[in-house]
Amino acid sequence: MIQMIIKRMVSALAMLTVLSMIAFVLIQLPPGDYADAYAGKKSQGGAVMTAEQIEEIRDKLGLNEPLYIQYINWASDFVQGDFGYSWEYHRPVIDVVAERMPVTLTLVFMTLVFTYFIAVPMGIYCALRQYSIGDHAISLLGYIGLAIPNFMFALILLYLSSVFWGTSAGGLFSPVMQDAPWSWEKFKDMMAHIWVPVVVLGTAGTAFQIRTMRATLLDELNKMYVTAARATGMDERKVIMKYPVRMALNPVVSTLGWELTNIISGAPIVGVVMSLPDMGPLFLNSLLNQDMYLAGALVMVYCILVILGTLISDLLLMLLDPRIRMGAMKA
Amino acid sequence: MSSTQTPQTHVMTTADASAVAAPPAAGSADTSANTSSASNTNSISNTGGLSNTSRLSNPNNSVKPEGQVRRYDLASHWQLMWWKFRKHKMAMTGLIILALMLVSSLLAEFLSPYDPLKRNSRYAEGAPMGIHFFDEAGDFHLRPFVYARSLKRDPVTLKRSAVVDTSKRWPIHFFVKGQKYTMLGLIESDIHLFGVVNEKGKASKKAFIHLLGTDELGRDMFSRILHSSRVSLSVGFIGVSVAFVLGMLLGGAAGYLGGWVDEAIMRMVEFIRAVPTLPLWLALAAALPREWSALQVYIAITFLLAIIGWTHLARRVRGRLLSLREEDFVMAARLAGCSHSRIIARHMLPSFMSYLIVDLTISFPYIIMAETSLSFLGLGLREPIISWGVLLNSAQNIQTLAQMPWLLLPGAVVVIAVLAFNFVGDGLRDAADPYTR
Amino acid sequence: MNQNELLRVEELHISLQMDKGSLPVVNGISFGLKKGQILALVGESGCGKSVTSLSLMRLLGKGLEISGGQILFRHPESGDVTDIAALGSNDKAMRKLRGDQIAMIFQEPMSSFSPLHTIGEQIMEVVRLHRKVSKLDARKRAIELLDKVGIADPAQAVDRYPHEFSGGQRQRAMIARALACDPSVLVADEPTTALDVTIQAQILKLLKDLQQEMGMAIIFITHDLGLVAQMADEVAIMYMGNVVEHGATRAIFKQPQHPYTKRLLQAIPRLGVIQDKLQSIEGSVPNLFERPVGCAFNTRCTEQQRDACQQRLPALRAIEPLGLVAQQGTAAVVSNDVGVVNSSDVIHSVACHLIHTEAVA
Repeated sequence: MIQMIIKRMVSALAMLTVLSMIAFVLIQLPPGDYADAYAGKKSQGGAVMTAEQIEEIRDKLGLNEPLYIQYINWASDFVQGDFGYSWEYHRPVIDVVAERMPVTLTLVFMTLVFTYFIAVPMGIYCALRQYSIGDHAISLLGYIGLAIPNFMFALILLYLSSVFWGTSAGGLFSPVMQDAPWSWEKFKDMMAHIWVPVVVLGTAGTAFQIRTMRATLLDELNKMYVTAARATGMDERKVIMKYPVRMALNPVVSTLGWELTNIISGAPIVGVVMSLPDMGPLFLNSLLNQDMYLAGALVMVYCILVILGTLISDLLLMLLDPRIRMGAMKA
Repeated sequence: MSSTQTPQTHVMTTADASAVAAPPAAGSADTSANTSSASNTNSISNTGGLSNTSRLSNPNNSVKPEGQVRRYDLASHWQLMWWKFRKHKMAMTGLIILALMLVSSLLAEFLSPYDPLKRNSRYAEGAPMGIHFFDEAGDFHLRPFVYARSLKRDPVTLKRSAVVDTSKRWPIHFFVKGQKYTMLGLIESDIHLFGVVNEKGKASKKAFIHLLGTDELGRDMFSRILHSSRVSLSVGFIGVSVAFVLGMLLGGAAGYLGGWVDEAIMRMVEFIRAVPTLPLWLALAAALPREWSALQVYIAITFLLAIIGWTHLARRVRGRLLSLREEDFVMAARLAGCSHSRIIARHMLPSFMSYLIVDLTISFPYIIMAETSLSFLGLGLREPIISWGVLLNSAQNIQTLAQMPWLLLPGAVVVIAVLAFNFVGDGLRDAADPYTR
Repeated sequence: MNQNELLRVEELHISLQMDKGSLPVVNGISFGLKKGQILALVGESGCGKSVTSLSLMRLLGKGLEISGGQILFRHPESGDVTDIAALGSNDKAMRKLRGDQIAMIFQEPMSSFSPLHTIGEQIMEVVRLHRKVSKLDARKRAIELLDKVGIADPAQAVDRYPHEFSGGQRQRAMIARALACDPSVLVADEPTTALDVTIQAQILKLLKDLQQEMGMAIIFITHDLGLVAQMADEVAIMYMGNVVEHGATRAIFKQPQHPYTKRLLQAIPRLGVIQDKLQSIEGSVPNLFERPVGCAFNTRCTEQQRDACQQRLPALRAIEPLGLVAQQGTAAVVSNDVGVVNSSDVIHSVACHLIHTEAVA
């Protein structure tokens, strides 16, 4: 088992390395480099830099080195927490990201909790009451949930809230709390607002997980071991909860990493539409303004979140299923 | 369980078989099935056409005379799939909706009253115009009409805006002459399906019809949606085709060659699947050179999106090939001296083609949604190439949205298209699975 | 219900409920089971034997329902008689019988255990469900049971997961689980079909040994008449939801009466007998929608048929030598005083128009 965990960690590291290369290439893609951008900013301030001065900066920053040396420099800086400098915000990238990260993490975590807390009971209900009205209603809602793009859903909610309540469902805080320092009150305020983006972000995933839970549970209910368990004289309810439900949870849990990837994928766009103070608007702005150090860093942060999340969900699955734990089955 | 369920499954298959055989009663081939005369050259029996009750009451029917075959015994895999698919009501509805969408997007120039880029300065930010049969006075008019709009200056803001003038009617005429267009690069014409004439019954620039309103520049939303459907659907089709080719080639190579090729390709698949796609796509799309033309961006974005689709397909192809490699019929083909490419193309592929098509149908909505999201954020397609996402881009802020909620209509089209694709995908999946009823 | 009978199935009807109505699967069968007796239910797949066995425990799958008849069970200690057919499938009274008095082993040992729990947990669970014992005692009992069914190193095996067991071991564990509470009736639904032939023999021997040691009655369900000869005291041959022949094993093998039984027996390959080819029964079982009118076997019967064969379903009646004309369903046993079965006591009865020539009023 320890061997498997180590193996998983090594592959996660390898993935991060490849991703960091992609992020680095992304940073390099737009025309002009750091020195040009620096000169551009300076000239906006009125100070014109000569070509020699720019060249000097290049030398100093190592921008004349071959690309792979530059990559190694960037990567080693990144590992040490130096993500570069953001021209848009006139601050080190790490500061900008650190400010926004907690909100994104809260949002993603809450969405994940929401998804499974809704999906598992509903999936069980649908499987046990197959073809009932409730089952049909839930599956219809699920179809719609899967078909609405996140940003559309957000727009509709925004529109409805402004039409019916005259308030904006965007943002995470009431105006009073907007600039207040973090406190218990502010946290409560955030919790009162966060459910809207959570629902937006989580609906598609919930719909998908309900389907998965329903389908696998229906499958499991027909298995021999369920009849065998009934034959012991156990109460029907207990039979179902203890065996097939427990079995059906495995595929659901195994999609945890994938679900997390989806949620993190969707987070930026929901953040943008609902103007949340999370990494989403930051990311879009950095892309539109080609603030590439910030953009690259954010891509990396998103990827790290996903890879960490997947790793955790894999470990969780190992705990849940003895067959995987013992390596009898390939994960 | 299998033994305890035997009677049950047994019944299911027969119930299924008779149900499958029953629908053709309306089909074209049933003439041969129902007129089982002796002269009938094919040996299709009439059991399929008979109801259960008559079969129950007739003991001789249970004995199948030598050589008699039921319709579903002879049907090809695709025929069986189609029969099963037709029973899936939601899937059929989806299919019809998609067909309508496709046709209307192909005929967009003819169906839409205006060019999608033409601005109507008299009706910018205009609300959808309702079609009426009854006028204010309650009189019925055989020819439907819209009420006239006239420009009024707001006394406070001094802004000119269009107001409904119920005293004047603009009747709707069909096959009217309008702007010249070239449809699909072939047909030149200036006939549009419908249009309005002014209150005096003459064609006039001052009379207009905007069924779904106009955007902030006065462009007709109805025409724009029709034209954008073509782009959005084409992104889907091209994206899916590219994904299909990639998936087949890479998945096929991995599954048939095995070894390090397999290892490398599967690593790549795993990698792509474990990456947060949208942020990466956004970043890649943002990295496209600014000076590219709208068409170049369109092609680039389509290919970018295809990269989402192929991994799933590649896995499927590889998995099937791996298991098929061990099958007897493949061994038989190999012993018969078939070449590798022939074995793959003639023997292995057809055996799981239906699954691939299901997978493709399912990946369609993903690509469409991804394109819509990218364009919505302003990182995807650009004007003058318009897609659903490009249209929605103008509905980004809540102020415009509150004033012009009809700008969200393209979103409704997206939802309907995705729903339809999902329904069709579900129907196909059920139909392709030989174990569902 | 006879005094020394544990279980009496009387005119049992089971049908499949569908949208368009219901379809009979089991058509009014009757049999009795005495203490310590092994009764075999034999037939091709789809004849209703498995459904019958599941109905004894009220474990019928979706859509299947008992639509008539009785399943009487006599509690061996108290002597109380319960009609299982009248209980709800999740009733407390039914659950008390299940696993405790009537236990079952299934066809597929591979899937009969939950893969997520250890074998020990799943055996202990049954013990603790019916007996007030501590966890530790239950565990001791589980180890003891595993030892009894011949699993090596039971103290270790008790903590293993099903996937660590071989097919044969799993079936042994399944038997251990079924015997956890010393049931008086064990229903074995094709317990060896999914196993290799050598392991098949071991499991059968184990079952027979355990039966002699613990004295429970077994209902043994199989399609393999070859196994019946070794195992059963009494045989009921089923065809399309009816018992077509019923009698002592020896009688059935020596003097099969029903054409179907005869064909089944001919189909058993014999050692030392040179056969040109394996005998088989022509045709296949008609599906349930196409139940023939008259005798269900008339579509495959090779004998010279009478008119009655096409018209009426023959009743199960005792055959001539005994001179007794039993009514359908009561063709069981005129008992002697003790509950030990003497195979010659069993009335040999058959349902065939060719044997019972005279029409019944």
